[in-house]
Amino acid sequence: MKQRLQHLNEHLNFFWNLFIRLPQVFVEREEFLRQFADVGIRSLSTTVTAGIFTGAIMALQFHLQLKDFGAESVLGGLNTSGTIREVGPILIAFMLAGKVGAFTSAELGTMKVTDQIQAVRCLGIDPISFFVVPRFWAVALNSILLLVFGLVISVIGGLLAVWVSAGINPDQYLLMIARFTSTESLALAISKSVIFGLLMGHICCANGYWTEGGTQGVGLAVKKTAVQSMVSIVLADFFVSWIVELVVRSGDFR
Amino acid sequence: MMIHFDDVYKRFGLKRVLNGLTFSVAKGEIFFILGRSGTGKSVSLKHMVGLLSPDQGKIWIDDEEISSYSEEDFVHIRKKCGLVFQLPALVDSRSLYENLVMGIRHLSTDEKKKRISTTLHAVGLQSLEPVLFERFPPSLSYGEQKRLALARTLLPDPEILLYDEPTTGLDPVTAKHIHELIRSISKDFGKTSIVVSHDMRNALATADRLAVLDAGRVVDQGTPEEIRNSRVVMTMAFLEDLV
Repeated sequence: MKQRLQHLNEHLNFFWNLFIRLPQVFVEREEFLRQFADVGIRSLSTTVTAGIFTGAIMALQFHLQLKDFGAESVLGGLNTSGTIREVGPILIAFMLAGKVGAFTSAELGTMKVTDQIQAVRCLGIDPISFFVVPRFWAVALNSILLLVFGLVISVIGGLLAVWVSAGINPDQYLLMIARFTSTESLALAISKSVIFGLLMGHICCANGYWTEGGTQGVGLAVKKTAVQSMVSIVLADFFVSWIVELVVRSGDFR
Repeated sequence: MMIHFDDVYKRFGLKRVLNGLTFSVAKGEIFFILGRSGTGKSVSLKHMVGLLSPDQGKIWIDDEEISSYSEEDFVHIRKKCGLVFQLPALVDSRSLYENLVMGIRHLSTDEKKKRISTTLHAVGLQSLEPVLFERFPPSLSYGEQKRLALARTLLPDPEILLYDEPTTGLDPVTAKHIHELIRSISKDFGKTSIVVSHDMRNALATADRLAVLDAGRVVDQGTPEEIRNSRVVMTMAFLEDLV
């Protein structure tokens, strides 16, 4: 237990260190922009695929249920609200964690075990500011933008799926989106995207930077990143939903 | 003395790697540390630049006692001591130019270019000068990567050069060339050099003085001539390879 608390403390310290070094992004702007463009381009196809199919799967499932009650007219609203609040952020975040997170961990881990990080330190450069901070912010900001973009794509995916397979009227579908999807749903989706993005950025950078023990260590770092990202995304999803619900409820009582 | 280790101990878990290590290196001297794998040669170099700190004992660099220095305190020591790693340790995702300027970021572009040109000539890589911006480390041969890493370490102009097995993985001809380079850099630019190596033949040809390590302590040391005539078992085992 003590060891786990110590480990959590190390994670919190590392995260805080990366967070407060945001101004360093301007100093290392070339590296940041390179990483930002690289992560963005590399993840775009994954985000589009995840977004389209998440929206499509959810729309088809909702359609099957609503058809029995003759309530297909509200499909657009229910599907979009459900997808952007819960299923969309978590599925897209999983895909991004698997791709961007694993790549960044492996890259930093390899730098560590081949002495690149130590060599830079010996040249009088702080390796966290030089290597890790630009990567953390590039992964975090990209994940936030990609998650929001993926959610927009999931709405299009849902619409296309039910339009093509069930002949649902697209105008009716879009009309219901505006009626059912509240500001609260959008705020929840964006909050989750921000939190998942920061979590992914932190976990992949921390595990990569802490890699030890040669190529086997790099493999272990990538595995840790995959597992920790997914577990922490699920936990964060639960707590964010819970807190937002509490906030909304307290608003109702007033 | 430029560098002095006084009874230094270091343990990793249950394994004691340095076991009362004591030696001194004078200014401008080329000092070789030889020994079998795992006897603490590389670990001793890492102590000099603060990548490791001793459990016990004291280390002096240029009259500064550094054994209890913090990361911040080591900033100026690292300007004084350049470490050439066993692996080239070049940043693969950065161009050759970006790798070279890492230690001289504070200089003007003109000054950087001037220094790079001189240093590339010194390490025999002048042919790379026109392609520094386009090429990346993985496009170079292993020997070229090693020499580029040496150039990167030389660029900030450190007073002390630390080489961690600089010829590992190189063919005998390139290894000999690297040793000649170490000697010429040290003598031409007045650098103090410490070289960790297994290569007794080149060490005897290059060093001013040598030390043989076993189980984390110095078991023999002297000039190349004294080492050749040594009766210490570990030294004789290394000399047997020359016969």
